[in-house]
Amino acid sequence: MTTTITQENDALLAKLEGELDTAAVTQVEIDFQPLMEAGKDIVLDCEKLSYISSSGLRLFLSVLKNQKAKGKSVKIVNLSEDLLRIFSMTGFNKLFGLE
Amino acid sequence: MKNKDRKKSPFRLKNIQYSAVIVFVILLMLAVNDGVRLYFVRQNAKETDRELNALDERVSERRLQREKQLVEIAVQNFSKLAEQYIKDGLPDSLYSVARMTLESNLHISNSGIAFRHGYFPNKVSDFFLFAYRDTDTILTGDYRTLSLDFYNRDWYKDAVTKKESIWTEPYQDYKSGNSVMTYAMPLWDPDGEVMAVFYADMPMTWVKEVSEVRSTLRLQNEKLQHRLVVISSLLILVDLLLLGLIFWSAVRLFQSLRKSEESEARIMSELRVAGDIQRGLLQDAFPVRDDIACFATLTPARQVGGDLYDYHLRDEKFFFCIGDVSGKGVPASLMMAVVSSAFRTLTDRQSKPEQIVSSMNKIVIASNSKDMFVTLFLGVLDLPTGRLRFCNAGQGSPLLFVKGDDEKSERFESIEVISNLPIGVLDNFVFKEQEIQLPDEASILLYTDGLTEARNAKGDQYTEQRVLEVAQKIAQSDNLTPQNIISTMKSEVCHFTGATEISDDLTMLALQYRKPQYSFDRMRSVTLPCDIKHIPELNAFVQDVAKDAGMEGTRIKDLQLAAEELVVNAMSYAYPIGRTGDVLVEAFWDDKMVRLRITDKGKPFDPTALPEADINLPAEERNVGGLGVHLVRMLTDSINYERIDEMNVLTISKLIK
Repeated sequence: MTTTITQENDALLAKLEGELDTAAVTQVEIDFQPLMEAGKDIVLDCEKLSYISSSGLRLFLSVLKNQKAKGKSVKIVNLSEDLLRIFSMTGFNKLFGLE
Repeated sequence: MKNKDRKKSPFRLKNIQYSAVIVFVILLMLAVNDGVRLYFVRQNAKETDRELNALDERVSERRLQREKQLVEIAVQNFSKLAEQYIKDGLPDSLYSVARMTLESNLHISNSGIAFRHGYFPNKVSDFFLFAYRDTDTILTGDYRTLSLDFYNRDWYKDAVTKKESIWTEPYQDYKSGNSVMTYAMPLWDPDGEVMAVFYADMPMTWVKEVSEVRSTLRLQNEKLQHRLVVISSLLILVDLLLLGLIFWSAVRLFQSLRKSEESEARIMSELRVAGDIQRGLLQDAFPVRDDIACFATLTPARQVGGDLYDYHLRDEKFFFCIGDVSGKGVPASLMMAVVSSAFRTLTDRQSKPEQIVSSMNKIVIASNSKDMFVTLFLGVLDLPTGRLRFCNAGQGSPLLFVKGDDEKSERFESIEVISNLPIGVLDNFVFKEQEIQLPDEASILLYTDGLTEARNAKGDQYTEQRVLEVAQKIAQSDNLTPQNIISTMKSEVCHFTGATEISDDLTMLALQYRKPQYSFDRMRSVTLPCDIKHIPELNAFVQDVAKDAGMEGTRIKDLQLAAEELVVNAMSYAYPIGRTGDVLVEAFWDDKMVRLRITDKGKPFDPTALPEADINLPAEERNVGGLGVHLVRMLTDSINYERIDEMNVLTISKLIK
């Protein structure tokens, strides 16, 4: 599970690759640290994310809460159909701006 | 039962109508009677008066005749003597004749002889002698002058003219002023000429007396009549007043009865609606599954009742209960609704009977101001294993039917139960549950005391003894389906009670369990230490199993995610921080289904009892707790938790295709 963060205009783009299971969440949390502290709009590119557990969803939720507290946005793009299903089952599709 | 309620009040109204009409008719008859009596009294009085008058007249007439006769006799008798004296030339003796005439008849007031003009040429031309009464004595006297006008008197003229004895009409006597009748008889000389007229006055004073008496009588009669008329009129008036009063109060009564009937009808219709709602609370969609069959009936004694049964299937567990709220009618039915909804809410989140019953106890106490209590039997049957946990809160022993050793023989027994208090009695009561293992094809019958206490026309109770006898029959019938058990029991109790209406709700619930027969021919397992860093191993294991079982694409990831969520739960909650332990994951599969069993030895933790995650809340209010189990339910075909031998055992199943 890898996370690559790049500057994209005024926003930060994070590309997620691999399976975000419970074990991986600990590392991704650390990888997300710069995102959480930047105070900029965030785009999470999930094109290469093949799996997410509820722990991963919880991480996404904490990012969202953090951004909202700072008046910034978080957008999820390129979500696979499988993951969109999981997002829909949990109502997360309504929380995030999905593209 | 409905018919009875409908008939009751019109019957009552009709009774009152009949009574009112009867009283009305009686009073009317009394009034008519009084009227008729008054009419006849008056008619009678008139008739009596007429008769009295007629009688009076007859009596007076007869008396008059008699008196006249006596006068005539006296006059006739003494006329002979007078004629003799005259013939003998002793006219002076005639005074004594007049006197004797008076003496002979007390009613003669005056008597005398008046000679024709010139009868005594030598002495006087006109001679008239007489005797009369002066108080107590009789005096005599005569007139010898021509100045007398007695020749002009009626009695004299008539007697002389007619030459026979005559009676004058009554006339007023110039001397006494009394009404008088005079009898006058001619006296004959030898030549056949009238020489004198012998007369006697008969005063009519007695006639006056009689008529006075008669008028007094008539007056009295009239007074009597008058009183009768007054009394009768008063009676009629009172009757009419009473009639009016009765009519008025009858109208008032009918109005108020109609009002109360209307409100009664409204209450009845509301009760019917309440009854419909209550029946709606009762489950009637019985599960159609291989492992569990269930059937229940509730026969209410009234529109709404206090009995209840309910069941609920969740996570491969069959929750069921049967209960009886103390009391009857609307309050009991409301409490029944409380218990029923508590059952559904609680069984959705809890699986342990003693916890569920304990929570129900608190709910009932919190919503109970009338000191009502509920006897309840609550069971939780774990379908994969056949473990039956139950909590008996004062309800009683269910009957258990099991296959005997011999293939064809069934036997039955009463399940021994601990008698916990009914719910709603004591707030902090500690309910204890029990557990038994149901054999394959076992059936259970639960019933409320409406069954054992059903009465026949003689008042005898059905009794538990008879229930057990019927159970024996059922056990021998080789048909242990819930429908058959209940219909047999019901027809037997109906046969016993006959046409007698049941006095208490009668509720029965029966279920039959068939242990699932698995033919999983493949099995694999992995043991994971309690640390989430081993999750990738789990995922690899599940992926392998799923692929080997023939799953494809999304279904593999679904099973993997479900397994991960449950294992992570077990690792996080079962073992407190600092304690280590293993999580065993076993996989079974056949051509149709994969089943994963996750076992840990940690503290009891039932993820199926976690509160449902609300997936519609905004981010700020989101709490991801329960999200995992929610996903598991979405991604698998079944989930089941059991605490077996100090272990948490979670089983999920997913169809391969």
